[in-house]
Amino acid sequence: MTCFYRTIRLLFCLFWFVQPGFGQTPAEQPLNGDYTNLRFGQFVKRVEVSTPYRFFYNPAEVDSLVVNLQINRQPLPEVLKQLFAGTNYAYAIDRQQRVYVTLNRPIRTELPIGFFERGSTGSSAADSTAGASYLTETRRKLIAAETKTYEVGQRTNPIRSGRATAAGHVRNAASGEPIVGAAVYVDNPRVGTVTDQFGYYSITLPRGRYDLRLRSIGLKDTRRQIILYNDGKLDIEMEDDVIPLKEVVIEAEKDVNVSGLQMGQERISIATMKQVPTALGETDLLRVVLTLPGVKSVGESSTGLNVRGGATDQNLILYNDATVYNAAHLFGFFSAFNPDVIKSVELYKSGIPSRYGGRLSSVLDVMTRDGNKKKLAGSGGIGLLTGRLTLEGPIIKDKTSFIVSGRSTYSNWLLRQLPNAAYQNSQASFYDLNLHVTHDYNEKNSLFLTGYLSQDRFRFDQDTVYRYQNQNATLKWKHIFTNKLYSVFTAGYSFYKYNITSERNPVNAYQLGFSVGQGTVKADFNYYPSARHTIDFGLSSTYYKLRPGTFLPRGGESLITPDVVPSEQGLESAIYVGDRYDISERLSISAGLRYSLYNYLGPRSVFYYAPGLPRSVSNITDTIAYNNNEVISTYHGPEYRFSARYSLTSEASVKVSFNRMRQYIQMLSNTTAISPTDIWKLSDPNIRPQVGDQYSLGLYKNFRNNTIETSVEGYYKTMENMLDYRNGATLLLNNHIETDVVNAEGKAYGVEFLIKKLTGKLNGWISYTYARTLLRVKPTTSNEGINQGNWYPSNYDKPHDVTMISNYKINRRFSMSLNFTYNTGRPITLPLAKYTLGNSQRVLYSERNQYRIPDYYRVDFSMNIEGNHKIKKLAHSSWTVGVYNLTGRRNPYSVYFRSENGVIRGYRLSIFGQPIPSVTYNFRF
Amino acid sequence: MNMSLKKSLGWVLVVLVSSCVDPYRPPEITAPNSYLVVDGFLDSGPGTTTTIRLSRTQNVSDTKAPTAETRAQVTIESDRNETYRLNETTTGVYSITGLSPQTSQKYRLRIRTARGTDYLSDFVAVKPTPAIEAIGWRVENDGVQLFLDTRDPQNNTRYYRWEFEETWRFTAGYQSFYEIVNKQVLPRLVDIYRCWASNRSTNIILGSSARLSQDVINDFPLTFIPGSSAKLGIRYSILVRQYALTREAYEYWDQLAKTTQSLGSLFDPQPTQVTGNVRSVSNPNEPVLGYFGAGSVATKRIYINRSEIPFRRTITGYESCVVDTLTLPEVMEQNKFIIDLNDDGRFFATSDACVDCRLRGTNVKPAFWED
Repeated sequence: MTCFYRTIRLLFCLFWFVQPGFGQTPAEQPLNGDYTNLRFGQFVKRVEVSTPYRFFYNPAEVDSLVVNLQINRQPLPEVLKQLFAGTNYAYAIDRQQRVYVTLNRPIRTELPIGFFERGSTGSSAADSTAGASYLTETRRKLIAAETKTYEVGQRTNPIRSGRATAAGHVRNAASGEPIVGAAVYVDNPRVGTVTDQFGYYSITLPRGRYDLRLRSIGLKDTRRQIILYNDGKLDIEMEDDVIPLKEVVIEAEKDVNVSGLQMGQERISIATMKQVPTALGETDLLRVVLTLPGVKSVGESSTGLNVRGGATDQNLILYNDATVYNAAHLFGFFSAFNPDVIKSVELYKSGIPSRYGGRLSSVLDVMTRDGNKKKLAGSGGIGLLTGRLTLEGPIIKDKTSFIVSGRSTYSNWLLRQLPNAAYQNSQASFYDLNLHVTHDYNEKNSLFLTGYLSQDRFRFDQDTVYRYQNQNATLKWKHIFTNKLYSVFTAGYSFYKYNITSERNPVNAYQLGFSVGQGTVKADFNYYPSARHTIDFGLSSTYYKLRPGTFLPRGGESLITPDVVPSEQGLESAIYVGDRYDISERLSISAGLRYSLYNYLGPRSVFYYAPGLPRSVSNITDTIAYNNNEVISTYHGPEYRFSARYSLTSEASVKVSFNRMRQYIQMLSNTTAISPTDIWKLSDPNIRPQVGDQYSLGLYKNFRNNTIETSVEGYYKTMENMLDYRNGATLLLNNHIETDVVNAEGKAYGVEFLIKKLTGKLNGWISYTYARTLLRVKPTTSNEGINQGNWYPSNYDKPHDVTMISNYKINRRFSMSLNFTYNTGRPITLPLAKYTLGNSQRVLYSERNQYRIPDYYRVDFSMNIEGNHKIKKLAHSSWTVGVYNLTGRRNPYSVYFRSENGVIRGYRLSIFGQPIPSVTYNFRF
Repeated sequence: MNMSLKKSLGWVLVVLVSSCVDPYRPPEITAPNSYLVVDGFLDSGPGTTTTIRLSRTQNVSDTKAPTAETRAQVTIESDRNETYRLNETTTGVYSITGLSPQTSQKYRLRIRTARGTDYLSDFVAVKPTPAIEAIGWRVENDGVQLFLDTRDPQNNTRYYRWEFEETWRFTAGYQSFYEIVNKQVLPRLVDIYRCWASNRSTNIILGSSARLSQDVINDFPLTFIPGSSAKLGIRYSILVRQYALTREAYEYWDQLAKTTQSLGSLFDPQPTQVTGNVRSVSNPNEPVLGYFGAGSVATKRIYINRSEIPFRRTITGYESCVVDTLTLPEVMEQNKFIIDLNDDGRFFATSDACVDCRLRGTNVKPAFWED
């Protein structure tokens, strides 16, 4: 009811014209600063930022009004009096500090005494003053830094002409953590930049006085008054966006999607990820990525990403710059990334910057948080299946910090509680450990160390044990040469292995193993020669070592003959350079070139096949043995990267991009879903590297002060030398794998629509994607082709896809999320006919992927309940309660036909066929 | 922890390991053609009969028996140009007895259908099959697991396929001592209480020692019988047939098994067309199903008696039988079977399914059966 009366009152306020009255105005906030040569709108914006006043006026009436004031601690009414003196503008200020500017006559802000018999204003006024006093409290702190004038560079008098560069780090005021992707800009001239992964920015401007503004999601907008004398350093701290309990703040323009050059890029912060409900209650990075337009997977349990028609091995998944080969736990039910240490994730679907290379379809860059530099803190969570604990804090205050986190599952214990003996004898467990240390040696040098270890173990009914393990480590050294040039030197190591052991029958006891490892060194340079150019360049080299398969006896009784497929090694090197050039305010381009060179190295014996004949063992013409580190074959080629943006208006732009990628390592799989036992294969004389081209075009428009982002992106992509397997292929322990695979070409095209609102009470996004992915294996003299050489849909070709992610904040302690997903069923191969053979019915399958499983849709719901918001207390806690697949729809994951007791039966398997409730308790201290 | 919470936690996990599976009826697909199916092999054992069955594929939803391919000319040819003609004994079944193939030669199958299309298999080697060393069994997981051991001292066989046929004695729910003949109650002469039932394996069972240093198959799990199964009620017997395979034949059967048996997991292989070594002479792209092989067969039979196993309860399938006490007119009116006489002149009677074991098997003792 209060709300209703407030609205009524406001309406009356707007229509009643009487004398101004500012006697009731609460504690006045003085204004300060230089307001010269501003249009009235700009003036209002600045006043609104630094005071609680809110202005209401008709822009058409004030368009000719120019503000030219030097204000020195004057209250707003005084300022307005000065401003409007001699004009026919009038103003009025009401109790809620709303300022109404009108022509000729001021608005009356109070009703005549006794207009309403009920004293309706009491409670609402109390509320808003409570909120207002809180606001002033936090504002004052900010204002101190904001009103102070910072001098950058050595002072000269007068200010010299020419340009200078200000650079520094943007950090979180509370934790000292660098802020990635914060916009740093000045309005006039419109020049801006974005902080990089270290929170570092560099901005070049004509020397002079500026109002430097900073914006970042989840943080309070801030600004610094700077006088740029010379090149210099300016570190800036931003505060967390603490929103008063009863206030709704619409965050200001986050117009990166329109003004930025990047297209086909999505950045998701951990805060957004945490809102998305998941099946098992744990925040899952990959599942959130899967809700983005253009990202698909074959099915519910699969964390294999298919980005814009690319295969699952065509994604470069980086964890603090280390390549992750298997990003899933527990056969795909959990992602390998612990939500407690993740800061954000960035997905590049197109217009991939030249500093990335090695995979065809996308780059998924996962960044971890830096530990808290100011104080020791911890957090953790307990879910139905997993528990996790994180500790972070300074080692040397404000210089060195660490964050260490562990996660594990207690599913073994749960399995033992089950009545079925087969489950009781089964085991399923995983753990992962993360360590990240940051050290600021001095202003110019910083070191970052990241370590990651994950292990999975799965045993079903006392028999075969599956184990797989990821190991990653990176060491980064960031060195700032000058304000305009800095470099990052990275050494990284990634290793993935799995093994399968069976000891049930001692005679057949075996261990099957596979591993892939890589070591990378690279140097990346960022150079800001002028305000219009941002140049990055660098070089990198990656050494790969694969053990494609070892099959060894286990135990003394085993008769297994050891079978070891010889290991293989390769070296991939690249140099790149890229330049972002702002040609005019409206037009920017980014052009890059990466040149990659790949050597396949011995020792190895390579088979050569008779040209024009099917590649089979019987057609081997020659076997050549190569010595250790001898170059067996070399592939190299340029990779072009280009993108351009043209701003149509300040809120709309159009972008185009083209990129070519080359990939020298591929995954071989004959299962539909990505499985932990898939193997990787380096390009060799018989298997050529994959090459992919993508063209894309996008239109971007923001509405309502950039709070609503909309975009349409279309793309067309071609892929060469993808690997498909022959019918009946053996991929594991195959010494001549080229005889079992065929070269496929792929094409993908689609259009993605996205509407996104990331701020406000109700936030989230809705996307619709139409996309096709087709493959073709042409029959040649050396292979028979698939589907007679016609284009056929790939396993993840799902043309229509609608996703809605929404979150509604009821108040500061309760928020609700509702997700909706619909997509076309994935293609499958269905039986064409049945026949009887050997006392049983069998089926004959159609050509590949000619039918589809039924369409998929799912609704998820979750609720987040925060503990009370007292700032001082022992531990802050929250509960997440969710239901995955609210409607309980049995979405088929696969459809299969099995001969049972001699009769063919068809089945559909649904993985989450019922509503799945989950509860997670999170805490931090 | 209380029971209900325990249950629900377990339930959450069941989702992880066993998800829900529903029957699926595919959209009506009509195959453009029906293809030839060749089922059989050249039996190289002395005095045996080689049988080749020819049929056609049918639509998946078709419920009729498969169409036999009749009046075809089926011949087996050796690589030394000897030909043997098979005769159609019953519709679609072609056989020849008394062939004695030489292991030094290779053989192929030639088929000319009544429509005049020629089909030809690859030449295949004759694979002699070593004897089955032992069939053993163990009690585990509340049932009986049967195992097989075999070896080839020459290390030549390497690839194996097995079929088995189970036979077991059982009794009906009640023994009927009287029967009604021409409205008269007479003592029953034919035993319909004790019978034998049998069952043939339908799955493709394959084993290989290719990765072992010796050609040994050890403790290979053949089949599992739950302890309460009626198969173990009195006396159980299993006959195992062992076939040696070439590597190509093994790969064929393995593919067939993978695409039609071991599906339904999270990481299924993509199903593919599995075609064997028989091809159409005129159109190499026409799918022909089945694999023609040549070799001998080794067999072994064992028995398991009730007294050897520890299980007490048997689910006979007769648990729902009820006995009524009826007068003779009532027995005849309700088509009941008499079990025995009651003292009051009425009869204990029950339905035919509860006394006539022939409805589930045969009361003729199989020729091989040893008591």
